[in-house]
Amino acid sequence: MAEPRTSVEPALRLRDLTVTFGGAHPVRAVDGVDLDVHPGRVLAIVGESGSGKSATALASIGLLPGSAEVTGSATVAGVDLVTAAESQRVPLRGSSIAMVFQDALAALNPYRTIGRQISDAYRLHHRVDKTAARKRAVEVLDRVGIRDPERRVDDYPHEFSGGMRQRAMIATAIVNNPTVLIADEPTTALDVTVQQQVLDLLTGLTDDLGMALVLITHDLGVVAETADDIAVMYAGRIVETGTVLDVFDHTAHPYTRALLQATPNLDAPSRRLAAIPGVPASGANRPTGCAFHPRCPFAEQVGEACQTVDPHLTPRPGSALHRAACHFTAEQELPHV
Amino acid sequence: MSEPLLSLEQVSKTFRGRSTPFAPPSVTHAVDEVTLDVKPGETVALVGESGSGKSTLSRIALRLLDPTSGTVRWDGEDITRAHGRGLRTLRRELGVVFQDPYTSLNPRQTVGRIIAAPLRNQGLPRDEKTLASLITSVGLSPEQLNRYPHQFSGGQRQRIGIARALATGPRMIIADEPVSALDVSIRAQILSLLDELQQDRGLALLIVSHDLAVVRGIADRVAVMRAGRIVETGRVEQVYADPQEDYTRALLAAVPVPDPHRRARPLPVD
Repeated sequence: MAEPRTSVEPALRLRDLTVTFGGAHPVRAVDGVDLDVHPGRVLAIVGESGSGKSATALASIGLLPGSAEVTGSATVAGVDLVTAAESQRVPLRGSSIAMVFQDALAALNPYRTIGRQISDAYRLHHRVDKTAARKRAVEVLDRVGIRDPERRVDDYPHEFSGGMRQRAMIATAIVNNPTVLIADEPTTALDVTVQQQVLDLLTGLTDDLGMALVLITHDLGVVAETADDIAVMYAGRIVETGTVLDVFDHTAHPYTRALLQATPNLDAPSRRLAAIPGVPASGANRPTGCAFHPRCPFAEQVGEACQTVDPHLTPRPGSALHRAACHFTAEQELPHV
Repeated sequence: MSEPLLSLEQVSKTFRGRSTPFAPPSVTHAVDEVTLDVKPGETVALVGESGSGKSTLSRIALRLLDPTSGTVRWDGEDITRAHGRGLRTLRRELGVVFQDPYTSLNPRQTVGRIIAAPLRNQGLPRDEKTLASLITSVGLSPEQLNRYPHQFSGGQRQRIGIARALATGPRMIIADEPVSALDVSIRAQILSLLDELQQDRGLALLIVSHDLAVVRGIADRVAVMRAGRIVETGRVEQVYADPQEDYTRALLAAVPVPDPHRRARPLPVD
């Protein structure tokens, strides 16, 4: 059960986070993102390729390459990871803020046992001997649902199935009890039956350990089943944010609406999925005004503003947390379909 | 009822590992005595998790893999052991769309040349008018024939792959995970395109997918594969509404539903 977030300090606070990839034609991948992630809550960052969702995550944990210019702030445990020196970031990375990646096979070292990789992560932040670290590795493997952890701790990654490797990577990420866990498309490469187990594990850890979980995904089905809060990104910006009920029940951005209509729902009568016309915009090819206007069914009704004026996130009625960046819904609700 | 266009009868494919002095070779039954028909104008979805054998089966149907046993028929004719010229008709009448629009198009060839390749192989005319009509039919414009794949988005590349599959005027198309590499907002575009082409041209369509939700809106029949076998098959409405097998039920139940009111996890409090 998600903690109420009133009066609780956010575990991760992003302010005006901006990421620019340099070169002859600089690309602004993330453009002024503000986000709060609270302990015991799941924030889903939703977006398609080029939306900046992964760059936001990597900037938050300070893992972007030197070629990326990051401005703004990403505050964890009172330290701004954007401006802090690497020597200040290192003790936080892994212990206060940790990350789980999409491809566990690429993230795990094929030459080291699972147990060794987990205990190495533990010993980076704890002064303990190998026996104690190994004991801790067995403990977290058990926590992430690996059966017979005493034996499997000595296995190599190739001896684990895809779902087990993802669990092992989660074990490595939570071994130091981080306050923030960022999971970047953690189930995209998994079969649906395994996906469900891994999502249950991640939300269970959030509830039991009081972690703040940032779940990055393009799948609104996954979001509906796991998220407490949502931020929808398009072309480097947040276009709609609020609680899961704000965004699903009172959708206030045409892009969010279009994504929902393009998402199949096995619980609803079969229908042809509504396609979103055009091509997703990104920081590299950002249209003027509202970046979504070339694909938006309401842009014509609003007129010139959509093509020329950049909409800002403004509050939507009914919830203190619900905000959207849209000229159309600033004046009226989206019509029912 | 019309005769099947593609017919797989008791088809098996076994892969053997290397034997060592101390152990016999490992044997994998990737496809195990599978029977599946696709009739003209019909859309069939072949659904399964990774390792279920669905891609192996589709490669056997395409005659890119030889089955270990069983019979592959095309339009009634046994083509199980056909080679070279014997496959000429199949190559003209059965098109294929691959999963990854980034690796399945030659980056050094123009789109026009890519689309013309099947026509070249078949010695069919490939004049500008033919190519222009092909690329228009997938929602792109003739001016784009001179461009290269990297100048297109993922969705547009998949359209190019579909145009190539349509080039020889096939009677059937096999699409292996045609939308799994695409953005959500683009998937519906490509599925609608396949659906329209199927209806306009009376094509038969075999869609291989791991995603039960994606194929529901476009398939007539669905076959669920597990561990090399088809465990359940039937009309789409019937299988989705009233699955007979536990495995199908589990697969359906695991698909996330985009409605927070249906979820197991408690909703947030504020």
